[in-house]
Amino acid sequence: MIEVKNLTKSYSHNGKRKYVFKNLNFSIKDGESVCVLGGNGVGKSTLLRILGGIDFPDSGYINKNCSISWPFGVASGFQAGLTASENVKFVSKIFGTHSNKGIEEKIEIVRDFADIGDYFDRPYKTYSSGMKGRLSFGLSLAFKFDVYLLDEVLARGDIGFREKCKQAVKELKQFSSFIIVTHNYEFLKNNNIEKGFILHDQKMIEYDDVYLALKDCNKLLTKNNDSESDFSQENLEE
Amino acid sequence: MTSFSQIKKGLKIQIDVIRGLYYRELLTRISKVRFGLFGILFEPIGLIIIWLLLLGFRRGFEPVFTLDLIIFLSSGNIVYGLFNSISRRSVDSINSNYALFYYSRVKPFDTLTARSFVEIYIYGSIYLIIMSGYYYFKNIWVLDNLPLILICYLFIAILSFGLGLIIMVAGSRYLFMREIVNIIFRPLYFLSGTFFSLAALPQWLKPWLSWNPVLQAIELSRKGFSDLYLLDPLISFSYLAKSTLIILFLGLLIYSKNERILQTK
Repeated sequence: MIEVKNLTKSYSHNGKRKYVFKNLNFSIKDGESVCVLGGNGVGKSTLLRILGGIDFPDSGYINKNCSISWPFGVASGFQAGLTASENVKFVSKIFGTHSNKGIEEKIEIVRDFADIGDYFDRPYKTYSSGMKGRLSFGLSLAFKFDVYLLDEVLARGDIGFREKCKQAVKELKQFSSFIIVTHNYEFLKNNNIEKGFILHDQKMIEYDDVYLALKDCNKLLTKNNDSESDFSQENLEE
Repeated sequence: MTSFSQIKKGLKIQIDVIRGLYYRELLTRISKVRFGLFGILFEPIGLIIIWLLLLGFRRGFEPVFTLDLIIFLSSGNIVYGLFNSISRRSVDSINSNYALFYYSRVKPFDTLTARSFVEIYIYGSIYLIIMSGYYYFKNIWVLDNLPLILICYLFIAILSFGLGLIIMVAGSRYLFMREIVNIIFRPLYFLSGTFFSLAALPQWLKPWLSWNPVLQAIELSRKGFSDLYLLDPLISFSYLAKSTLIILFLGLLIYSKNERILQTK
């Protein structure tokens, strides 16, 4: 159960206060997966960062009785100068795995999933953005959480990787739930994610039908009612 | 009861994090310098050799107040090196570890703790190498009061850690503070008694230098190496202990008020 009460976040830019969102209230039941929708820069990633405990709201609070992962996706907690295996070893250690055997197991899980060949033993800064995405998502398989935060993991990577992701999400979903930022209807439908939140104009709109949510989200973003038909065709054909 | 188990759990997480950061810190420190571990150890040793040659040819290689010139310079440069590496580089420890605050359990406090342990390890190894080398060539251990040397070493590490916390907060809140810290630290090397003894200075100059706890620690370490080393009356162990505790307390206080600012920038 994650309960969010009166969450407000703002930044000060050039002396002016700019609100990302104001007084968000929502709750997510145990085992319930949700998706977060919205245009660029409305604060989806900020919300995920706050839920993951690495950013802090101005006011409001979050009650939770489950373990939440860090956000997996575009940004990541990898040290640029270290190789992937060194990075995985580091993360294993900070999450309490110190034995060589335990660390080796985790490295193997990530290596198998990321499938980036000998790049795995080269510094992280030499990776392409696709490889970074593979690694970031691979890491989620090696560490167990009740709730995983996924930030546009499907946006990058080739078709092979996306297939792998879908498989992995299916496996993780047996024991855990997701808070996921994606506009991929097919993915949401396949994983029975029915609940959706739209972040728009500092507020949050809650939907119980993800299809409706996506439809409304596209309407809001294009400010055009005709887009409705385009969206449904496009996504259902996929 | 719950609070006790919570503390235990929190402590376990913190120790895990520090162990992880220690591993990472040592790894990056070694891979950054040419020749790896050898390079890290050689850098301060090289500085000591340069001073040895400079002072040796200037005033001869005689002992300073019965303390051999090599030990005299080593104790000064190692203690100062430890102090400099922990406190001055604390701002870097935020910058270079910023990606790691992505894991909510990693706090800026832990990065500085891990870095301090790495520096304690590195400078401790240098101490050991020099002392062993000295024993190898001269067949004599110059260690009259080992506990005093170790306690001075530990105190200067704690003091640097406390100061590091303060510099970390100041440097993150106000960028110009980083420049100011650099300006202040530059002359500090020459004021800390790394290559001179306080007792050998003119009387009027002494009070201007003796306030410096680093100088106090260096002089006390030299006393630890040789009992016959002339200690100025202005040097006292209690002054070092007090200033260490005050700076540590101040550092923890300032840090605890500013943790979130450091973490999110």
